[in-house]
Amino acid sequence: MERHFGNWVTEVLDCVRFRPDRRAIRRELEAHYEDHVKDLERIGYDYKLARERALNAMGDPVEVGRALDKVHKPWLGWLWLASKWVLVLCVSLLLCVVSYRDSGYNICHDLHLMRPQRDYEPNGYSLELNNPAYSRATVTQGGTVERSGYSISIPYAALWWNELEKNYNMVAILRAEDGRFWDHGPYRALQTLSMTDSTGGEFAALTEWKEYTYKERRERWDGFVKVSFIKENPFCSEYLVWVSFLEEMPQWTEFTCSSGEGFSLRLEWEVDTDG
Amino acid sequence: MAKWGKWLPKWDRKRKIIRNLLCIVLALFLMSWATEFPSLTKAGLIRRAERQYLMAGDSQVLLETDSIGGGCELYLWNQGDVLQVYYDRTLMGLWLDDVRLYDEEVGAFAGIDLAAGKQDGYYPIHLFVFGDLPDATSAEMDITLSYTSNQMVSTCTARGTRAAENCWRFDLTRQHGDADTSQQARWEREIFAGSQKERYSGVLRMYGENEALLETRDIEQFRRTTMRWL
Repeated sequence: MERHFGNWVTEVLDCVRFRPDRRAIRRELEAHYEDHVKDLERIGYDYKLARERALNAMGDPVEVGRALDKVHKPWLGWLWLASKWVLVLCVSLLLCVVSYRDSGYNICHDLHLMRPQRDYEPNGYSLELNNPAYSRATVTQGGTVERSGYSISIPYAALWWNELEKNYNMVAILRAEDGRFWDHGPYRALQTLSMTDSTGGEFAALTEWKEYTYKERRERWDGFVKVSFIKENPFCSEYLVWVSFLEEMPQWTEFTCSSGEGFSLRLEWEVDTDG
Repeated sequence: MAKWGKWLPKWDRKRKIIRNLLCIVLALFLMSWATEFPSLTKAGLIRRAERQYLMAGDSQVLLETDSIGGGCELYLWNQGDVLQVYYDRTLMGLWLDDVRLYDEEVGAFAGIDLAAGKQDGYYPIHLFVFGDLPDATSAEMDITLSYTSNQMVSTCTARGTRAAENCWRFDLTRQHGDADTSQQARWEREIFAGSQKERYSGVLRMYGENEALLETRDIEQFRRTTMRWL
């Protein structure tokens, strides 16, 4: 009888076209058959008769096989297996990429930076915060321009009075936002940022400033504009703009970027009466 | 697995496929994020390079090189400026390495065409001149080939072929025969075999209609590339 059940299972499995499932189907049918045999033995059937009755109850093998084949569709089975293999491959590659490039940190870092910063005051963005010679004269913020899909703005700017050198230094945060998470900010363009102010002062981009001798610099400009990268996440990048050697407190200052489409951003300054 | 199995929902195969596909998409996205979202197309790469300089999106590709080692270069002409784009081919796409803007009026490059392979035992050598050139109908160049810094090997005059709107290509030919045993001939054979010890200089002449000379320009230095021209 054992052999008979084996033949029955083989006939059933021959009807199932998706071969990778055959082993699981065999296990399930065997378990079902054994359970039925045990039930019959429990109610008093002898071993041989219980097996014969259980086998008869399993039904026609071809009919059962066809029904199982309908459930275990080959295209669905292969698709499922393929998706499983591709997923394993992708996860392995992801782990390799993250460990090789140390990029896992970048993702966490980016997520952390995505929280918008509303208050630039606590750290003050002074280059020498602990230097008693510096005192903040006033704070302002500028408008927004749209260029090449970037929304460029100055959310914070401050003038700092240097008591030792008797001049002002300006610190500003320049923010470039865009909806393209795959894109980097316009850092290269910002290297051409220059500035003019209401007192007639002209400040060159640092890259241009460096090309001239000390004497030539003093003849052409009053100081320079330095732009350095602060932080970047997929939707936003921020840059620190530092302007040196403003001799007088200006009423307004205007930044001009000459690269590509270019832009201008104007800042209006008022004396901070709160001190 | 059996231990975890009881925590997993009993899904049919269709749902499992959908779940797996979503997980694949998520894994690919994270992989792309971890590699700074490489561009899928060259056009996308060019747009990214242009945006770093806030440039309008009408760059024309002057030259393309493809490195055997990994790093590739693109030279773009954008309203009078030359953009040099360094990028790598990665599994996830084209990864933008660096972008530089050249305000020099005319750029010149020379390279051994490794892609073409050796012909009669030697590689072809191409020279490219591009930039703010007059709208010429033809161009020719007197090319001086040197071994290392100042040991002159040969001079020749080559006719240019237009590679792009503002870009002319010149093919360098061997001036010494195989039977020549002179030092210059040996150097020349070494250079054309790919020794990469060569230096170039040239005088470029641009001609308009009726072969009227439009401009003559001395090019003292060609930036050498060890890359494979596409």
